[in-house]
Amino acid sequence: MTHAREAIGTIARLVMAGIFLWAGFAKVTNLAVAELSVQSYQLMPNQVARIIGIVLPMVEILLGLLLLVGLGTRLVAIILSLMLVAFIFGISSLWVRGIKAQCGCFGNSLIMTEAPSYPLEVFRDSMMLLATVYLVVWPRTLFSLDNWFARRADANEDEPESEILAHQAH
Amino acid sequence: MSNSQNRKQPKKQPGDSAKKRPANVVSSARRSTGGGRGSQQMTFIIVASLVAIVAIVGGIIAVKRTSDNKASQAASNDQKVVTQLKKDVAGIASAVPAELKTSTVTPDAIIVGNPDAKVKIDIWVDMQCPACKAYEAQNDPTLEAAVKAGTAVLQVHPVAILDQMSSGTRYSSRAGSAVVCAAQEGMFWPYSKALYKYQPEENGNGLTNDRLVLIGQAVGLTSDSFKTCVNDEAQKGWITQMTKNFAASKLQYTPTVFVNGKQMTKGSTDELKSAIAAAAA
Repeated sequence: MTHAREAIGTIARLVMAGIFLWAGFAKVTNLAVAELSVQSYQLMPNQVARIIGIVLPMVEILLGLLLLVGLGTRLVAIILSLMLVAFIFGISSLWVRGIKAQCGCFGNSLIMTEAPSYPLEVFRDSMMLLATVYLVVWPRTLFSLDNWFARRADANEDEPESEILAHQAH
Repeated sequence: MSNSQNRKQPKKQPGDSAKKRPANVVSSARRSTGGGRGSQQMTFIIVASLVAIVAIVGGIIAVKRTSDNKASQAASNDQKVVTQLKKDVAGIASAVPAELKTSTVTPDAIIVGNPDAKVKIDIWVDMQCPACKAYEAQNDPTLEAAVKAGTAVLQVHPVAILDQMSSGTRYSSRAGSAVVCAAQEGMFWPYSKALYKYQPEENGNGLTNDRLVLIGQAVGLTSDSFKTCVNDEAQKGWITQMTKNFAASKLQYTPTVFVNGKQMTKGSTDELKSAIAAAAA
């Protein structure tokens, strides 16, 4: 049971790491587009939207890296879940308001050629949200720094104990 | 090594297996929440500060970039700012190669470059559209080089699909009309370049006609005919017709770019370059 849970968590962690690294790099390599992306949602003042457009991909890369190495998985997963809720809200709001704008999730083309598929995008983000929530609930995964730190912490706590034992033995 | 194991050995004797299990359960429970309390707190601090650092660095980069935004400068009435604006616009115009300082207006498009060039690049734009501004900023060098070399001719189709994005001032139509006025006098490319540079924010008030004239004058469009043309929105009808053509061609978004009829989809410089090369071959 625990093994299966850890295995699923590990897969979720690594897949989400890949997705967010990809999303972040796709945007950060074209900041001109990244600036426009958030603006095109028309949810906040342009000035604010431009700043978020640039900060967001950088944060995505960082969180992707943290997931990849498995450091602070629970906290990272909480932040990502909140972000995904915001993304889902943003896309749904385009859908509801009938604004045709690219999601911009994985970088944009400056040229929009076809109407975006909002249901598909909402579905995709919901699946991702499922994965990050899973990691919030069960953050323990294999091959993670969290694990490594935990084991070291355990070892540290064991040590004094064995010293006491040593004294007793003599 | 063997010594320490020996030392541990005696203590384990009473109820060995029973004693060992609880210890394991405890440590695995602790691990499941991400380590011991100390290391958990430490991880929290590390992650939180990393996120904060990246957000701050990103914020600084963003603010630096947006301070380059010229929209407010173009609308300012401060005499100093206006003087600087004129100077900057003149600079933009003088950097444009001579081959792009000629243009003609046909019912179908504004033509820049040799009309018989082998590669025909159709560009549908709205002067209010931020992506059009970004597309041209990114691809101007490629477009200009192709026209300069005589390989390509630009067929620009300004449309007005974003009139509702300028608080009732119909900036798309007015600016569109103004670039046609400039095109009649041969200065389409430098003028539209300047207008992009000072493109007003969406959902703002746009630039006034006076400001459109002033930017034109700084580009070198000093004639009375240009001024009258802009103020009277004399080419509004041309823009309206072009907007109808846009819809009739089943186009929906700006910018839309074709190289010899092949639609660009990525918007990258690489895509444009290779399309031009392929069409020229």
